[in-house]
Amino acid sequence: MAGTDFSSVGRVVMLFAPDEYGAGASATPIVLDTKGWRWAHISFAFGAVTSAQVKIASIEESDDGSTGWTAVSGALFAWRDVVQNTTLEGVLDLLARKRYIRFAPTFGTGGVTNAACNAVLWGSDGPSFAIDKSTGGADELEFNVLT
Amino acid sequence: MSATDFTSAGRVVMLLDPDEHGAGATPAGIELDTLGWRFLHVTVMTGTVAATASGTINVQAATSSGGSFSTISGATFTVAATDDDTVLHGVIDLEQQARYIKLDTTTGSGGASDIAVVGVLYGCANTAEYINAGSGEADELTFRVLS
Repeated sequence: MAGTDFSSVGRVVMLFAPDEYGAGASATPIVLDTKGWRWAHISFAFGAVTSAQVKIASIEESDDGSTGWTAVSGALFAWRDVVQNTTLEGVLDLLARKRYIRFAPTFGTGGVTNAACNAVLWGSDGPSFAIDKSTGGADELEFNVLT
Repeated sequence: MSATDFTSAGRVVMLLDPDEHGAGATPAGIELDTLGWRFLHVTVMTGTVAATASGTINVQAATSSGGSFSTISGATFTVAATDDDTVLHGVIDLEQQARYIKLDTTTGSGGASDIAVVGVLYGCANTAEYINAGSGEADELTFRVLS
């Protein structure tokens, strides 16, 4: 059994916020700075879906977080029929990637898609460098129930 | 740097599917069997919160599947009306809790709330016992980019 809880070794971040996306809408991506982390485990989750499909969408990477975004080869959630209340997952080795990543899928026409996407950042040289659990910090805990 | 990616050490699970939940709604959480895992890191993600009053998300536990769930003392998130595009975190030591976990959610009144909740299970004796990344299984990966 691990004696260290996950919040000391990894981080969960949003790549786009949960929303009920209209037919043909695109999610607004949240640019993720992966500096210091080794792996990104990406979970693309669906709630109620009436559009039936999501378009081909790739994880993108950039050196500076604002320009030169290019698709990460192979990091592709392909056009498919989406089953509601399911999650698609993928893994990136960040050593082989540029520093910033983002994900902005376009949803299918014909109805709405409830969706959200998060990433688990995992494996860093020193988590204290990247994790800020202090009050108001990005990784502040609402509770820590240990007993 | 960790040479082991997260999929070999933990699991990301949905606790509340992403959806636009109506005012004062009580969406059903997804029951989670935590057998064998040590920690649960709970992450609440919000999109647009149009509610004018706070909502609550209680993390509950029960000894049997479908049994009588009780709120874990201290394990409550408050989603404020101002919490648009926010991430909230909490940690539970599962050794101290009953086996099955589920969320008891009530959204705030006055408007809809876009909410999704994921859990990260972390720390177990033998991940191969719980993680099934085979085709069509719960932990199947859509992609794995290693170079």
